[in-house]
Amino acid sequence: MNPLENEKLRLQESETVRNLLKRQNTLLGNSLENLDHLIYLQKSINLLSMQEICRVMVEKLPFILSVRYFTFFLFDKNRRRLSLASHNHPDLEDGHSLYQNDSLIMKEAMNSGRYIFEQDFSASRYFLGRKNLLFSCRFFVSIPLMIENEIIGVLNLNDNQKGFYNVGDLDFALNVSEFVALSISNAMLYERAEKLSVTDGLTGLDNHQQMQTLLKNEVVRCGRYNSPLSVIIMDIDHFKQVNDTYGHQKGDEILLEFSAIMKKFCRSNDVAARYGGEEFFLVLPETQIEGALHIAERIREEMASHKFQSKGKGFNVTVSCGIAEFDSNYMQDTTDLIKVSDLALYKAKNEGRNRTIQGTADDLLNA
Amino acid sequence: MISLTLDQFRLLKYLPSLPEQIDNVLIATRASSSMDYSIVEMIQYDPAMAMAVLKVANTPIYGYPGQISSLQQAAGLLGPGAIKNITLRIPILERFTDNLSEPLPLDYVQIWVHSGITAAISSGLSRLMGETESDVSFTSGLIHEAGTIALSVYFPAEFAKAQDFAEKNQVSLLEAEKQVLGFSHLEVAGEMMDAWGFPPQLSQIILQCAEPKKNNMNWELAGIVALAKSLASEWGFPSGIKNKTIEQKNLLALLGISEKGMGQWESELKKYAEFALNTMKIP
Repeated sequence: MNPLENEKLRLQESETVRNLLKRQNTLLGNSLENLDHLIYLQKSINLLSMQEICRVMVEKLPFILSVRYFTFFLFDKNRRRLSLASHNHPDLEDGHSLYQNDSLIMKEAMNSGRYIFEQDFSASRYFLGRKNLLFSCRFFVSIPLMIENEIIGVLNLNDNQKGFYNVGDLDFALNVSEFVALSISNAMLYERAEKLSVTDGLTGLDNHQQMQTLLKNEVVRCGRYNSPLSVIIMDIDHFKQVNDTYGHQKGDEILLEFSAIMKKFCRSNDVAARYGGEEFFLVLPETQIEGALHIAERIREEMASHKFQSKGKGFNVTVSCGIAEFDSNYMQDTTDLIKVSDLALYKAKNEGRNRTIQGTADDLLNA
Repeated sequence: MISLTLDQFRLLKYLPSLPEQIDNVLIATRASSSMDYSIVEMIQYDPAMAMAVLKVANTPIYGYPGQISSLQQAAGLLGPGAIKNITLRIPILERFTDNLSEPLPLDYVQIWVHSGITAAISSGLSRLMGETESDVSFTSGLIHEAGTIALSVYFPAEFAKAQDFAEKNQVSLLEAEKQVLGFSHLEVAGEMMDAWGFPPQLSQIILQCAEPKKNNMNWELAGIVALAKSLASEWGFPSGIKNKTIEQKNLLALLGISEKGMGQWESELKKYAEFALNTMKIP
């Protein structure tokens, strides 16, 4: 090879290598960018509130996944329903939900546990012949979100600026969906644990501790705004006897039925709680004693008229109620208020049960 | 007219930086505990890296889309780790695109130095004038030639035609670009900034820095950048591009600075410029 040819070859090779290095560099740059996005998404989505996670998804997900529109549905496996939890579709209403079988594509994605990726949704069997004027391109991706083989939801992606979705985009979207699934699962567990810590396990009412906290807040509010506040304490009559006669399962059934009656007569700001055993408590903000009496009587009457069944025989269960209104002239705190209502309940029991007795601040002096 | 359109600039991902600057970054990433600080220090006088950092900081992922107007804000938002990764993605500016090509038509080291010095003087002027947004002023000064860099690097043939036209017809490059391409490098910068999600404030400043006019949005910051550019050239750091120049006395009048006042500020502004020059590790 003469020197000229040698030089030509050297130049050719250096140019080839240079171009290859540029391409390698671009690919590495893209990977680095994706990695940065993934790290930042993880930082910003690592939250304990589901609502906040959904807000972050709307803010960041379309950019990170290079899509115009996305929907994220949470899956309720007991009801087999998909509820729209987060989205940026202008045409969709918040709170939209559908039965799992109503969306063939999401149903298949969930049943198979695999993503579904269609370049042209209008030609796919899921949306054959259908068009969406919102989209400028026709790809559709449906990714089931899973934690340990348990489906928690589905992420759907549509439309982007470049007009197509490639395998690299999809691969990245799958990685992102795992981050999202983990955060959502954490938030769901946290919210559940938080709810359990303030809820009575059997009845679903607030527990004693939560009732005390809420009552304390209400007493402070009542003092500040000089607004009325009443409480009702209720005890199921002869509950031990009912348990001994009909069994503890029946006893639980009675507690559940009574909780349901309480909820039925509760207004949105009222607090219904299981005080302990067969005792229940109602906090009634903005309510004077007359109102409390009315509510207590309705609950008592409804319970007394409910027919329980055991081994083909019907029987009734009654409750006794003590009511009290907070009086800042004579009562200092929640303890005094509870004490007045408790003394009234004691009277109701002594006077023959299945009745409501109104307590007054004077009872404190005599106690 | 050449069939180059402004839309094509919207597709650009990054502006390339000088090989010397990229080398500095690579050296810094291998350095010890002070590496993060060095990187931020290094990029603060690099228009290409500044553009890239601003582009990322203005994406929705960091929570302030279209709201980050200065490199200093962006650095605070992203942190050194993310900035390091951005600088590693920046392409290398190749003066010879292949083994047979002509070199690119500009002296980029000169443009880089001019941009860095303009940034430093802009920021100094803002502070002396009691402007609150000296960081935005700095950033605008730094990236005011972004359109020229994009045009000359990615479309060198078209840029060379505009340069020839300017030479032959004795008009400014800005005028020649409009005649030959149908748009100027300032509009190129504006288009890129829009596509990259920059706040409108920055493009308003850059678009009018060749001819700031009172009553335009952000005319004062544009005037500061124009004056800083003029001072940088006067003090020995011109961009090397034959552009339309506005007389300094007109800029001073526009900004309400007396010649005497300017004289008093000169030594301090030169200190800013000197500091910038020493910080830029460009040979």
